[in-house]
Amino acid sequence: MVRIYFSIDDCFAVLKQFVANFIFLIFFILMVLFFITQHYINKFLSPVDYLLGKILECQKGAYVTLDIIPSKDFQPIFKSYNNLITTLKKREEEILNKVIQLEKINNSLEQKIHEIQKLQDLVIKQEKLATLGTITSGIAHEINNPVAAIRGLSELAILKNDKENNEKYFKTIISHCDRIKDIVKSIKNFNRKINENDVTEVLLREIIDEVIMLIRSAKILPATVKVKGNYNMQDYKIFCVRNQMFQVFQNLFINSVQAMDGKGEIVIDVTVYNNLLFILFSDTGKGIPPSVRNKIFDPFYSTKGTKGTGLGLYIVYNIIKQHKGEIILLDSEKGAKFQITLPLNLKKINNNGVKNESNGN
Amino acid sequence: MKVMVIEDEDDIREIICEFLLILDVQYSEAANAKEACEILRNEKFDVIITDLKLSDISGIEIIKKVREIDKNTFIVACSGFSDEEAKAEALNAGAEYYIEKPFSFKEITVVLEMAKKEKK
Repeated sequence: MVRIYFSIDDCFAVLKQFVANFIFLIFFILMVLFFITQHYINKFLSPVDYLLGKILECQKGAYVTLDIIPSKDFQPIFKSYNNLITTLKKREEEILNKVIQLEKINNSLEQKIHEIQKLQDLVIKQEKLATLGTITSGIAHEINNPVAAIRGLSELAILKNDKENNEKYFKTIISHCDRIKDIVKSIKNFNRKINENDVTEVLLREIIDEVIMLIRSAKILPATVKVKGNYNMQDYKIFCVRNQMFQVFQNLFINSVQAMDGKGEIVIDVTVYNNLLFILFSDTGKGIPPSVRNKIFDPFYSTKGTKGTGLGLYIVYNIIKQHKGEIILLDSEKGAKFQITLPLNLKKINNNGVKNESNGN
Repeated sequence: MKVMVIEDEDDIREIICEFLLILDVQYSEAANAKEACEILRNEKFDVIITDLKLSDISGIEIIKKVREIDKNTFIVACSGFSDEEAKAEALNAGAEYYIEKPFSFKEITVVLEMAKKEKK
């Protein structure tokens, strides 16, 4: 029988050794576990971080695809992300192209608008020249009549050559010279530069009277057509491009006269309400049929067949619009009746027309 | 030879008539289309000198009316419009000749001679 004796000290020593070993083992296991988890955490987190970084870059506008394809687990996500970025890039390019296209269209539209504006100015000038033609032809006719009389009387004076008759002839010659002088005087007001575009303050009645004088001289407005109304009773001042406003009334008068058979009345009444000038222009002509009422301000629409350019009222409408006013056709029992509204406080102008500058507040 | 003068300008009408008187030509005068039509209804003329811009209806209408009734009358249109258009309009309506104002007496004499020749 073998007896083995352990002293308590030995026992403690063994136990201590065991505990120490155990603790070391635990520590070792923990260390291993720590490194393993660290490895896995790195394995999973670094691509996520990478992805997140790219997403942030992407948010800032840099569409960068992922070039590192790591572990299999992430491949589908990375691939989807890359697809997404490619699609986004494509979309952005498309949008950019659309923007460029739109810019091009916008530019060409602006150019077109500019061209239209230029053409419109040209049309206004052309129409003015056409009216100028009618008026000069009328005036030439009116001057040719007294000149014919002067010539005839002079020939008679030479042929007859007697004192009694001569005095009569010369007196008549003088009266015809005066008639020519009056006609020439009426043209003076018309002789303004066609391109003059300055806004000035003018008396409304002055413009209307000058138009009447001119077209009376040109026999466009015959003596049998009376002009009535309160337009010349008050000094209404308007800011306008003078020759344009002249054109407005000239066109309205010519239309009215052409709608009458040589005789009738044109009435121009003016009132002020709320800082607005209301001009009622009516005539006793044959009027405007209901079927064409909404077309009269259209360009190239004419009720006069080949005799009209179809631009008269279109130009009136545009000039009034440029002066921040409006013109409408009112219902009327007989003839045509227009209402023109113009603001009383127009002051500034640029190339596109008149600007409204309030001085009331 | 009988001449009709249609002209709404009194002085011009009188000048033409006075000249016709010097030439010893028989004439009638009218200041507007209405007067002219009344005279033309009862009388025939060898020559009609008419203005184109009358106070009532245009001279063109008168030319057309005269041409409808009488093909032999020598019609002379007379106007202050110097453009070709007015001239063409008058000639198309049936006028034989177009005189532009201001005219000379020589032109009137020539026109009357032409009318005489055509009569023969």
